[in-house]
Order: sequence, then C-alpha cells, then structure tokens
Amino acid sequence: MSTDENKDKLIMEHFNQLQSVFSDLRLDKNGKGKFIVAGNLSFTCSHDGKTIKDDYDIEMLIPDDYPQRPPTVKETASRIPRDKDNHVYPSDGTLCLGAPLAAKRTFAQERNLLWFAREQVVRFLFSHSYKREYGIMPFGKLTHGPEGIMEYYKELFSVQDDWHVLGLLKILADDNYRGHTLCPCDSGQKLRYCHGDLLREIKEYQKPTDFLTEHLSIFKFLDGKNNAPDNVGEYIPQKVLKYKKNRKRKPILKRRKSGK
Amino acid sequence: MYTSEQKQQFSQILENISESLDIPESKYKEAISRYEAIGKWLDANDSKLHVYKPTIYAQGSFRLGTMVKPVNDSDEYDIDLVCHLEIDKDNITQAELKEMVGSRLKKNETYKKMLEEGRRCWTLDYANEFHMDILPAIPDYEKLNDCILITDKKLRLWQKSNPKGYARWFVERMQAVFEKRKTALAESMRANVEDVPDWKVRTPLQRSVQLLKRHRDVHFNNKDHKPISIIITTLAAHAYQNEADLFDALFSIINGMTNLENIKDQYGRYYIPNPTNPDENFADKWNEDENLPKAFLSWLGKLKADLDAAIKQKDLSGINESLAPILGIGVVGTAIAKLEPLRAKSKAYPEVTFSSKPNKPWAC
Repeated sequence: MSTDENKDKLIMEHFNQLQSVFSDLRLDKNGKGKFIVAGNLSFTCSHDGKTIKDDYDIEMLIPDDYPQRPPTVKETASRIPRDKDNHVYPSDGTLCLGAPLAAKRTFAQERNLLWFAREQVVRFLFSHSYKREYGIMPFGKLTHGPEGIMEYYKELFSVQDDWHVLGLLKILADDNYRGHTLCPCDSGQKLRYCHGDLLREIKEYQKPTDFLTEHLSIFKFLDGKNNAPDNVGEYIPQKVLKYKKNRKRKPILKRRKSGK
Repeated sequence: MYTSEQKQQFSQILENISESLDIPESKYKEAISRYEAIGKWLDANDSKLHVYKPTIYAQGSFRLGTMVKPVNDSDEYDIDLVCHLEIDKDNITQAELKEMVGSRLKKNETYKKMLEEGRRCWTLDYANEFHMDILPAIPDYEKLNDCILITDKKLRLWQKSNPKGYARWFVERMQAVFEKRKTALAESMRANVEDVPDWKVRTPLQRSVQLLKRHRDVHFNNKDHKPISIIITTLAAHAYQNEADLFDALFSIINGMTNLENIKDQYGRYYIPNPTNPDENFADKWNEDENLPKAFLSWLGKLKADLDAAIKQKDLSGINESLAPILGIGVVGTAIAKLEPLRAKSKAYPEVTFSSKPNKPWAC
C-alpha cells in the first residue's frame, strides 16, 4: 500500500471515530484536493455550574502532514466576527485556538480528529458561546500579538521574568540544547535538572525556525521597554548573529538605540 | 443477501456518486463557450482556414455524457474536440492539415502560449480548467455519414474515425430509457420536453460508464494496462438492456462485459469493432499484449467483489467505508451526505467533557 493510501485510510479511520460522536460532520475534499471535515458541530458543555447547548457550522482543513500538525478550523456561518477580539485571524478567518505552541502541544497528546474537535474546537466554540452569554471567557485569554505569546511561555515555563522566556526560547531557536549548561531561568541549576525536560518535549512540536520567529517577535516587543538587562546581547539567537555576520544586507533586528 | 430498501438506497448512492463525478454545469457551459470561441477564431474572415468552412464539435465522453472528474483534483478535465475542414484528401497531406490548424491557432497570442502538439491533435491547456484536444479532420468522401479522416504523426495512412456516428449509436443503445428520463426531467422542471437539453439527461448507461471509469481510474492509478475508455464504453453500451434502475444496469453491464468469448472473432482474436466502422478494432492492442485483457478481467472481478461487499453493508457508514477507497473519499462522502437530510433526524447535542488543560485563546 502506498503512503498516500495509508494516509487516506488513517484520515478515514479518524473521521469515523469523530463522526461517532459528532454525527453532522462529513469528510470531503475541497477544490484543491485537500481533505476537509465540514458540517455542523453541536455540543452540550458545562462550566462553573452553567450549561451551554449550541452548534456551529465549521470547516476543518486537514494539512498534508496530518497527523504531524493539527487541522485548521473556520466557522462558516459568520456567527463569530472575524477579528482579533474574537480570536479569529482576520486574514483567512481561521480560529485561533491558543498560542501556536499551545495548540500543537494539546493536539500532540492524542493526534486524532475526535480529540482535536472536542478538546480544541468545541472548547473554543464553547468559550465563545459562554462569553456571549455570561460576559467572561471561561478559561481566560491571552493578550494579542507577541505579548500574548510571552504570557503563554511565562505560564508554561513558570517564570516571572520576561527575559527568562527569551533565554529559554533562544535554546530552541538555535536548536542547541546542552544539558550541562546553566538554565537560563537563573535557578543556578544545570539545564537538565531544571527546564531541560520541558524544552526537550516542546522542541518536538514545532521547528526551530518557528521558535526563532516567536523569539524575535517577543524580543522586538521587549526591546521597546526599559527592563532590558545589561547583557541583552546574550539573548540574541546565534542564528541571527551568524546571519548578520555572513550577510551584510538587511539585518533581522534593528540596532538597539540604547545610550542615545 | 440484501433487502429491496437496501437496493434502492444503494442505487440512490450510486446515482449521487456519479452525479458528483459529472463535469459541473458551469464548467460544461464554460467548455462550450471556450471551444466555440476557438471555432470563431479558426473561421474568422482573415483566417486562411475560412475557405474550408472550419467547424469545431465535441467528441468522446464530453459528447456522450460520460465524463468523470479526475482522480486528482488538481488535474484538469480532458475535452476532446474535432476541428473539421472541408478539404478533399487528395488535395492535402496529413502533415499539411495538422500544420494548417496549428499555425492558425498560433496566430492568436492567447492560444499560442497554451498550445502543445500531440501525436494526433493540438492541445490547448487552460490552466486549472481543461485540456482541449483539438483533432484536425477532413471528411471521408468514400464513406460519408459523418465519417472523417484524421492525422497521426506515427502512421502513414489517414486514420478513419466517426465520432458523431459513434455518439448516435451510443444514444440508440439507451433510447427507451433516455426518452423516459427526459420526459420525467421536463415534468420536474415544469418545462416542455423539447426545451430540455439532451445533456441534462443522464441514463443508467451513462451513469454506469462513469462509475466503471472512475473505479478504473482509482484501481489503475499509476499502474499499467489501464483499459481505455472507448472499450469500456462500447462494451457497456452493448451489454446495457435499458434497465431503468442504476444498480440493475450496472450489475448486468458488468456481467455482460465479463464474458470475453463474446468479443473474439473466428480466429480467436479480440475484436471490439467500432460500431460505425467495422474496420476499426478498439481491441487491436489486446492481441499484441495478453496482459491487457488479463488486467481488464481482473479489474472487472475486483469491481464486482467491491460492489458486492458494499451493498451488503448494514448502514451508511459501512457503505461509506467500503466505497470510499474504491471510488474516492470525497465523492462518496458527498454522495452519502446528500442522503442524510432525507432521513428525518432529531438533532443531537452530545454531552462533551474536556480532559486536557484548556488553552487560552490568542490572536496574532
């Protein structure tokens, strides 16, 4: 059996499992020949003693490398406004199910459609319904943009200092894990006895370049504030330094304006 | 065994599947307007072809109503066209005819970019839409009755063909059901029968050919010895007995096609003549390579077993699981989903409890 056939079979299996719970969904292919799961997703969920019964029309696009990456989801009946306040990417209308790593990490627990639909999509839609009904997000939310990603990482790493996030992300961005070095969270412990396990877990979910992008966006965000440490250069990934050295074209980061 | 309800439902599913295999109406109309535009360009007053009264008409599955959606959605529909010029064969060579049509097409800046030369035809590649194969042809004055002569780079003699005659024969094979379906369609559209275009009508023969071709396309995807469409279409049309039900039609067609002894001539050679021209044997290659009839038979056997297994399924998801791998997940899923609204179903709101740590929504 070819890998394509195996992949199709896996998607069908996962879809049947999904449909046994959410029966109004169907598996189809879109105009570009990609698998989609479309239809109506209905649910009854309770939180804090309050029950919500609701349904949404959705379309999930299954990526070519499924189940490595989770599907992306759109709400198709325009019930959720396409804006950041409602956690929808305005450009393509896909739902933002969490910080990028968070969505991948949750998906990676089971890597199937039923899990994804229940834990990530229904959870998101339920939050939306709940917010409309009761005015608050039941599971909280992150700030927009880089700041929100930083908030996510601070919580994930259990660190207080913004720059510690960058120190840890730098290791992932450079794909340069060394267990015997000191942990960048200033605990005084070796990495392998501190944040090591967590770093090694999450580096499986996305590529070093993804971590680099996140690192740089947070760096840019923090750079404008005043709490920068003196040794700020040490937080810049090797990749960026090498890039600057090798190519004298446009640098990725603008030079710091400190001291002026 | 299966019940009559099962059979009825299965027929409906097959009908829905072949419906989604059809070229969509919008694309159908677009294809026609595209090739009519080509015809106008060839026949324009400043065209060297003008004096030969060029006409363009469709042939093959587009004409017969047996088109099937490509297996890979990124592939384009193939539309086969004849470009007919009123020239006597004594006044022109094959190469000259081919060249004449080609150079006129190249005079058009748009066509020039899309044009490719094939063995028998010129191909215009409308990206993401169609491949239009334009076959230059002249009348066969010895035979008349729409017989044509066509060019072939590899063969010295003019090749004979008769696409219009073949299409007439094909329609005759399903005449009785065709008229009935057309009347029924007119009634459902509240229109006069004369106002219903033929291409809107689909008979169980056309549907069966579509399903056969689709199963073949999936079965022989990237494999050798794939049976050619004209053989499938011809044998199916011979086997068809004007059954009104698609399931009945398909099974009797498959059974009829399976007996290859029927298609051997007195010397034991495979002989599937063009119904409008006994000199043309569609099965010529079968006599050169025995793997071809072998592959054909084993494919038909697989198709029969696949359908047998599918109809015995107790529920729709079972049918979906057994048909999707052999006819395509997308088309089968859509076909079955179309049945769903028919069955009155109270909407379920399943109880959902979460077991992962919640992610806080974010936005870029």
